[in-house]
Amino acid sequence: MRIRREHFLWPTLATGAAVAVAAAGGGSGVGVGHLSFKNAADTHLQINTPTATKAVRSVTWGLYRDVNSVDPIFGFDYPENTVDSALCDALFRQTPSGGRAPGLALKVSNPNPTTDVLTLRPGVTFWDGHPMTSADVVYSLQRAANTKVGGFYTSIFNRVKSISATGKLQVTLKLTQPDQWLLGELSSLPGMIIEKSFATKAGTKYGTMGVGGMCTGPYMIKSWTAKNGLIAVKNPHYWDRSIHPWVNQYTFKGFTDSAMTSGLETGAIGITYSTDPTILQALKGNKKLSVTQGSSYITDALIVANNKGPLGNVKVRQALSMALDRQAYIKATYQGAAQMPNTLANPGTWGGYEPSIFQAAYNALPSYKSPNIAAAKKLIQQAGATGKTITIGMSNQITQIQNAATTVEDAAANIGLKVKLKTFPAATWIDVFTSAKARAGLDAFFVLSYPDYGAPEGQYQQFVLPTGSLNYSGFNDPTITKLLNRSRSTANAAARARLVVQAQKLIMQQLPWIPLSDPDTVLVTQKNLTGAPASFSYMYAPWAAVKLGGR
Amino acid sequence: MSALLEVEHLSVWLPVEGSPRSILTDVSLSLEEGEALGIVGESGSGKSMTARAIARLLPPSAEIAGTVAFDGADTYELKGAALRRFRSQVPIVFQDPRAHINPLRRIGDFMCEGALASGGQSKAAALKKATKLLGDMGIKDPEGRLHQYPHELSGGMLQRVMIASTLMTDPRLILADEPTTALDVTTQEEVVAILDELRRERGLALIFITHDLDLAAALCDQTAVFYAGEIVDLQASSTLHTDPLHPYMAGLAAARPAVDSRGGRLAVIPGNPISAYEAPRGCRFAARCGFAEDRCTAGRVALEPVASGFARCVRAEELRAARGAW
Amino acid sequence: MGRRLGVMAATLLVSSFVIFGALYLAPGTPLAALSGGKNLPPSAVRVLERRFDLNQPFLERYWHWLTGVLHGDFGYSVVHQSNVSTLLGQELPISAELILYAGLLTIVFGIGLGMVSALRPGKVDDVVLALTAGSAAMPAFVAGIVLLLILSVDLGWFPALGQGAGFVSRFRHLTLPAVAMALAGFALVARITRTSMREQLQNEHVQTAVSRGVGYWPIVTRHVMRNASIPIVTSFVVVFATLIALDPVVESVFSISGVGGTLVNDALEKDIPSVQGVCLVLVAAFVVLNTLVDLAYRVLDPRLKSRS
Ligand SMILES: Nc1ncnc2c1ncn2[C@@H]1O[C@H](COP(=O)(O)OP(=O)(O)OP(=O)(O)O)[C@@H](O)[C@H]1O
Ligand SMILES: [Mg+2]
Repeated sequence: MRIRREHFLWPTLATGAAVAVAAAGGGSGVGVGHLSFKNAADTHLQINTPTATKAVRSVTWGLYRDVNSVDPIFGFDYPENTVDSALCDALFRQTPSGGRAPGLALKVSNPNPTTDVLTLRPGVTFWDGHPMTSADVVYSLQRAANTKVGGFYTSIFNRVKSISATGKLQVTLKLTQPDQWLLGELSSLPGMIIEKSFATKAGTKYGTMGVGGMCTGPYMIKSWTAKNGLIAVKNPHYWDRSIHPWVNQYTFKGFTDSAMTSGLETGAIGITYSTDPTILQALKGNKKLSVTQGSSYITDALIVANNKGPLGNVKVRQALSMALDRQAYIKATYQGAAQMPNTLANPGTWGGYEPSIFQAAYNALPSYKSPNIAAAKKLIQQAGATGKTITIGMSNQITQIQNAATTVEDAAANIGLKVKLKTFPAATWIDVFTSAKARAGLDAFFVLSYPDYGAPEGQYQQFVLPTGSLNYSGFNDPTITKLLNRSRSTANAAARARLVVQAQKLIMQQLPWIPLSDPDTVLVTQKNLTGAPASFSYMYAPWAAVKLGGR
Repeated sequence: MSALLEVEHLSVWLPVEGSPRSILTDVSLSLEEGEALGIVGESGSGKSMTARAIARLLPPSAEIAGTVAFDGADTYELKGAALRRFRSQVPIVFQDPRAHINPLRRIGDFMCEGALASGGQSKAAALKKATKLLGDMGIKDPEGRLHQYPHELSGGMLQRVMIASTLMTDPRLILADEPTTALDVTTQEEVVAILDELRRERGLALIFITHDLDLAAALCDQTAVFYAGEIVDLQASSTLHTDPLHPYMAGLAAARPAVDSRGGRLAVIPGNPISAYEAPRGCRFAARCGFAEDRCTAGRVALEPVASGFARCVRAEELRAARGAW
Repeated sequence: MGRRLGVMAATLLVSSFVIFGALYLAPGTPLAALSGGKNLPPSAVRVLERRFDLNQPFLERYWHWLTGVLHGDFGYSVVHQSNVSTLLGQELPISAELILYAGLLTIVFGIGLGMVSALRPGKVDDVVLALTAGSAAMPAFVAGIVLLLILSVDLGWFPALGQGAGFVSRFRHLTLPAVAMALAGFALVARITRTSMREQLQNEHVQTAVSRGVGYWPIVTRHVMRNASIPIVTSFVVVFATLIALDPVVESVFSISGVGGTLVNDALEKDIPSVQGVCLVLVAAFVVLNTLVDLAYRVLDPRLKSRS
């Protein structure tokens, strides 16, 4: 029986708060250099794998389930992110290390701080040969912003007043306030451009199996059936001449954990980013497979869901965080494929801009390397919380959550807190996030979350802003809110980063969530395949698809 | 010329829980072409086993001593096609036609099966023959019957089918193992009449197994009386009642008037019947015999010629002489 | 036959209602599947709920679905973003092939071994008995994984995943899963064959056939097997019911894109039209199977024919 994998990851949904913003200086381009950086907690994480040298006829790409839509604005989970990234281009391209590079837009200029003028790349065609124009871009963005269409990314446009074509290859966004987060999001699924004529004809069926989609990406849909999965072939007219995909054809298909394992072991599956962490060592031991751990955007944490209970006291949160034996948890759960978290944003998200500022800030934060029970106990006593009970939601059918619950239980017991576990079946675990009724009575529950682009604030905004989509406790710290909203409006990267690390320091004191680990991206390929980045970029950019090839 | 069937010193053992159990001991009898032999005896005395031994239908686990010769050939030497041909020459009419005819196959298939197996006949010819035989048995609409299934026929009708089926292969000896026991009284008479007629018309040899002494005597030239796996008295049917050679037969004959003749069971003789394997040394009837002496149980008793027949009794001559004794 | 169709329609109606109701009442929403379970913005939820009729009251939804089915429209799968009839059209043949293949293996090997076992008492029989006991005790998914590990992962004789395309490739892909599925039912068929053949061998009419000079094989086939066929054919219902029940597990172990693997997942995701479509087909298949076996009885056992 297919038990849903532990893929309950939560992307950012930028929700704006009105904060006046300093004007960004002149119309500078967006291009960001490929800054490489070392992960603070560990140094063995890789971004790239050795370059491919050989063409390959066809590769099966293992997903944890079949793709159900190729409409980027209805893509919200690994399979769709992975496939959309191979099929479609966004206005900006996330680099393998998480930076932002020109994509279908060459640059953004700001005639005034609340106007983003996008200059589109000339010579781009859709798979059907039709040239991409500003009409397609305006259509795609307006469609993504339109709440009547029902896309998943409407709220990222909440500082956008209007989207209009101001030239054949120019699109102008009028904003209520400057918005750096919007540019980040436009390097992700909501920034992917689909063909207007195709999409209007397809209507609500756009992106479904029967109709398919129409994008500009390096791969195009050849066939798509429930039986054989989505088969994509090289787009011979791809605009980016610097890219030479090695693999002629990909089959994107969903596999259960056990099928994924046997598929990898027999060579039936060429590449996957979704393996069960509990079999990592077995895969590493397999001579036919290459396993690479890379940086990711994912944060593994305990959500504090109720600020009226014992966890409403910041000392209790801090004590619990201090008492967690994260090292043991990471070993048991990820077989080492996760890092110690100093913050609630994975260092993998720093690559977007100014990693050195984030690195320094990270290093300055207290480390969680080993539990400090004595100090934690003292905090509990100070808070007068000794003997109090916290209720934690978990699912014992999901190994990672089961282990996390045990870790929290042990820590609580060590510092004089009682834990009551409320167990959900894997199938209804989702309800904890979507239904207030399911959440009732919970002081905390577990989450894996990630932002849509390489920026820690993309991660933080979803649970520290009062309007954040994952802010379940009503956490509201005016200073933090103000700092983050200012960062949203700040065009200067270094200034923005400094605002974010200021907020981050407060967040790590306040602990609206309690970090558990920073899981790695785990790339598994056949030994004879190489080249795909081991970073989280496979979720947003075509690198994995175009760089994979024969060794 | 030798007899059609010659059984000599036939003994049979069957394994029961691994060890052989005596079923028949020293059975000898012979049958001429066209002759009829009646076999009577209490239940369990070995009548059916004798028939099976003759038709080579003993289970593979049986141990057999002695010989059975059919038409001069030792039947236990036969194999494969020759064995099957022999069997088709010595078909059995079983007691319960309902159980002994496959309920899932048509009458026609049942009738023709043996004939087709032994070869030489086309299906059409076999069906024609079957039709004719059923007609001969006094069955109406024989052709229609061939297409019917056993459950659509009455017991008597089915037994006629059974008898008719034995004739399909032009046999020379028919073994009828209590062919009327499962039938009601009027049908019994009809079936016996048919068998008798057949035998006379076609000159078939017949072994007729029954519990009914009178019937055996009426139908058969000779009668063999079985007791505990042995023949104890074997003689012409005509003298069976008037000149019993063995005290057991004498007991049966004496009790006869007390028994409802047709379809009745054998007469009641004081004491319990025994099976072959339970038999003591010497005379197996001794325990129930009014004339038993020490020498009766001293050693094996052989089947010896007495008068015009055979008896297995050390005092047979002596008792016969003193006829007045019983 | 008319009555039979009536019963079938009633069965389908009742089961569809029950399944619909159970799924309707279960917690969660199929929209969660679209987002991998993430919190969707309220505007998206509103639009999608309206588009897929998710917020209509139960009876209305059921009625909508039912009238659709009567017009040949099985509805739209939210999870797969596709018409259910399209999905069924793609997935059903694979499952049908797998189940039939497994059924064929079950029956051929079950009857074969059962016959050997019945006709060769002693050592051969003992070996067969041990074999069937072993295979009956092994759950299909364990068998599947073991077969997969040995024959596919280690030895590379068979493909590990998927269903292949084209006859030969399909055949190769479906062999291991079919064997895994066949193991359970095969023991049943072998034992029933053995027992009923033994029983028939003891039967008096077999004696009669022997006494008529009929040969060994004609007796085995025309009498023993022929008569044993009734209980054996009866066991086919159980065999196919078992295979249908095992299909989802085996399909997911071997990653076969049939209806079974989809069924379990879609039930969890509350994708009512998809689950309903598959269930309708399964119930129909079962009713048809039962009918076929009933008909087979009539052919096999003339006593039934004259009784009705
Ligand atoms: N398969 C067998 N294994 C062991 N003993 C058997 C077997 N079949 C029959 N017997 C025994 O052989 C003996 C003779 O049996 P048989 O059937 O010849 O008796 P019968 O004279 O025909 O009796 P009835 O009048 O009841 O038909 C009986 O004691 C019976 O218990
Ligand atoms: Mg008898």
